[in-house]
Amino acid sequence: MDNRTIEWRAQVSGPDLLRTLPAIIRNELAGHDPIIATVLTLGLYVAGIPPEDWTQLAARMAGAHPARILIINPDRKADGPGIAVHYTASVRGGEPPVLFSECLDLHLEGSLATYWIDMVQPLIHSDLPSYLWWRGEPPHEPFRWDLLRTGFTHLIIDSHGQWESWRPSLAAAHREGMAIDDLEWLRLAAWRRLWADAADHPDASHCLFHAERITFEGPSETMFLMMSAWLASRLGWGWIRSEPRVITLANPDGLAAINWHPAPSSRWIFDTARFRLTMSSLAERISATLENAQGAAVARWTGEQPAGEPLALVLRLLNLGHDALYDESLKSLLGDDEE
Amino acid sequence: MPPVTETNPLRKGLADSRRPQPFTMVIFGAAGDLAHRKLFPALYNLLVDHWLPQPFQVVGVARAAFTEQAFRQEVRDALTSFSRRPLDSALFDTFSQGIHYLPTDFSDPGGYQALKTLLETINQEHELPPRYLFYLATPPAMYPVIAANLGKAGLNETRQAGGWIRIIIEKPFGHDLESATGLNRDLHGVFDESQIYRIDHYLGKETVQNILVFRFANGIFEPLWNRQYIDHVQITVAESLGVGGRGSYYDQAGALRDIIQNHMLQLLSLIGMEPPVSFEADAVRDEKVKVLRAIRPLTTRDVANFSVRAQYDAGFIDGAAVPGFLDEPDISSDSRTETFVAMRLLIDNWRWAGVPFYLRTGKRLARRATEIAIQFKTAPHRFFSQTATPELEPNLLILKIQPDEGISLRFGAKVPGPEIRIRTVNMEFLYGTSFADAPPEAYERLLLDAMVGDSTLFTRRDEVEAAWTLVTSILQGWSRARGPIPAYESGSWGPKEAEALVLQDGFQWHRP
Repeated sequence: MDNRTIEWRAQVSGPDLLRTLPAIIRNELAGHDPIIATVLTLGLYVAGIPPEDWTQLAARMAGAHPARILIINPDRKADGPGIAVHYTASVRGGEPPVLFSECLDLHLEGSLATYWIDMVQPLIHSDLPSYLWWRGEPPHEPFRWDLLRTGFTHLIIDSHGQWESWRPSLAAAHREGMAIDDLEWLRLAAWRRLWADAADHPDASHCLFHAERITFEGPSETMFLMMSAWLASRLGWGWIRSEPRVITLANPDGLAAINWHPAPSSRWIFDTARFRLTMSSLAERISATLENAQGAAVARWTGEQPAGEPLALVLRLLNLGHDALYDESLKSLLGDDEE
Repeated sequence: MPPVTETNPLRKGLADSRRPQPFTMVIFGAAGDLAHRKLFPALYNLLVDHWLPQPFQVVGVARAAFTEQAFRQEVRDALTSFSRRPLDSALFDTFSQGIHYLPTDFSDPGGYQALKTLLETINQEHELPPRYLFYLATPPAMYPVIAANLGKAGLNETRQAGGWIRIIIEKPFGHDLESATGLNRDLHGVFDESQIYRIDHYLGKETVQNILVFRFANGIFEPLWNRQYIDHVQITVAESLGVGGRGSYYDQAGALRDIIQNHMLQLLSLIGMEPPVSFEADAVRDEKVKVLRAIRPLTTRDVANFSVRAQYDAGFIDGAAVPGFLDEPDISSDSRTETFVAMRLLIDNWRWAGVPFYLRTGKRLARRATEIAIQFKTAPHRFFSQTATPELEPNLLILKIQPDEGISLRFGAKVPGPEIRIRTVNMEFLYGTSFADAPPEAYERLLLDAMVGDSTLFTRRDEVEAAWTLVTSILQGWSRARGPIPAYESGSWGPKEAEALVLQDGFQWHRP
């Protein structure tokens, strides 16, 4: 089956884009209506971040998931209203041809930059999953999450290093019923697995579930919050962020505090009278060690911690689907903001 | 090591909760074709996808006198030739550190003591409890020998906390009911049924597993999935290849044993089973075995009337001349082994009473295709005029297993124009266009399942014996038949007797 690419560039108005696009495709396919193999729509909101070869990125994504990819690049400084559009589509030959993936790179100018949601809505395939990967800074509140929700059902963000600035937006999106996925949560999958591996061992699980003292040393506030929230949600414990660097967990033993001490590399320490469970990272490896009161190692676990490149994480997310565990943790993480 | 906790709340819901615990895999027949073409590539690809635990150790056992270093090179060459992903040298270096080799004769008890010592050394080095997955990639005659010797060496069970021992055996699981029950008896003398994983690679195919998803994850089909709405079912496994280099094996086996006893009866049971109470091994297999047991037994007269066997004659495949079966290498000139089988089966239960299931398999057929065609009953009342629908065909749902995996639904649609005219059209779903990721090889899925102790896609003792009960009755019926075995031209869809088999019920074979 031969593959080919359709490509089209133009400077058009919004209505012209919606009217012209189907005609362009049909014209390129010698009058045939293609079979649309798309399984999802993925928006990439890229305003204000350094330009990349979005089309190349979209192609990598479409290689794994037949998708309509909308690169949304609003530019309020540009004259308008108008759209500089670059359309590419990959077609598999045959009669009728199969439209396998599409990428619409949309540079939205003037008032269209403000009302970009209205412009993008008709380009989202109905009845298919629709994700918006919001790259860069979160939007300024108030933001029309209600309007966005009518087109995109899933929001993908990366809260790495900017959890606090994302929190109000996530609470608002969550209230509107958007499913939320966070690439930082995916990056921590190896840690969750390591904790789960350790929890198979009765003495290590006692350490995890009945620790008298829990300490996190590391650079990432998001990791501190997410791992704590996950532990609390899995065990059904209460979760209170009593101070910026202290989380208090209400468990059947009473109250247990998790203290965060900023440090260059990540390390979790769970202490009981008889054992200490330490989990730490070194480059792309993470490891856990259970030591007795004399400091002798009783058991060890190791795991890999992949680099966590954003595109690979998004592909993994689209493969696995939304993680319900994150929803459980998010309730604790959003706390009062969700009300 | 203290006992593993029974429930682990942190494990629940993790995306890769199927990642196995560290263990050692032992491959008997590690120098053979199956290990080279399928097992080592599957292990390597599992490693690439981060499914293998660390540390992962594999011990190859075979008669060939390799050094460990030479064996690692053998594995490297096999991966270069047969892995679906290109070999990454750095990754292979990690993989190869866990590869060991033990040259021994499978019947030598001393070899099993040496194996035990090697496994204990590995366990000590990596602080592991005894967790062993034995894979018997050997001729079937060696299965009882290896199992008995593993038992004598104490490698059949462990009482150590956190330990487990499992054994995988390859088909054929016997060559008739008696030999299958004998093999099961031998295996059960050493291993518990819960430790035995009988592998049928067909069940590892994505599209075969998708039968369960299609039926039980979609609300719209199950209400129609019964004798009220389904007219009949056709299952076809067609190959365009001949016996090739497998002449001596095939002349002993034939299509009935080679394809129908395992692959096709598995497909039939997946199509015919009731919804299991859960997607757990025994719940699924309980329902599958009920279907096999509900198949109406065939008397000698039934075998004559409702089964067809044939051998391929010379002909043309893809425009090239090919010899007939009796002229193939290693096939005796008076062979009565069938290369084609077609049969009608009835399932005597509430859901399927009166719905014929037609099975057809053969070599040197017109094209390679595996599919299940489910033909629905026609609409109960035609209110369009006869002229509008002169050739309106009933709805047909086709589950395509290979080569173009997908699902197709045939239904009637109005031809554009001022009159009511109806033509059948197809609604097609193709795996290749909706899921761009290359699916894992069947062996990858099945090995991973065995590593995590999930036996859902492996065949249980009672399934094997129920299948052999049916197949043995057919073999006995054929053994009483006199006269020549029908022939069919290579490149055709089989003998005319197969056409007559369905025609007597008023049907035709669906052409894949």
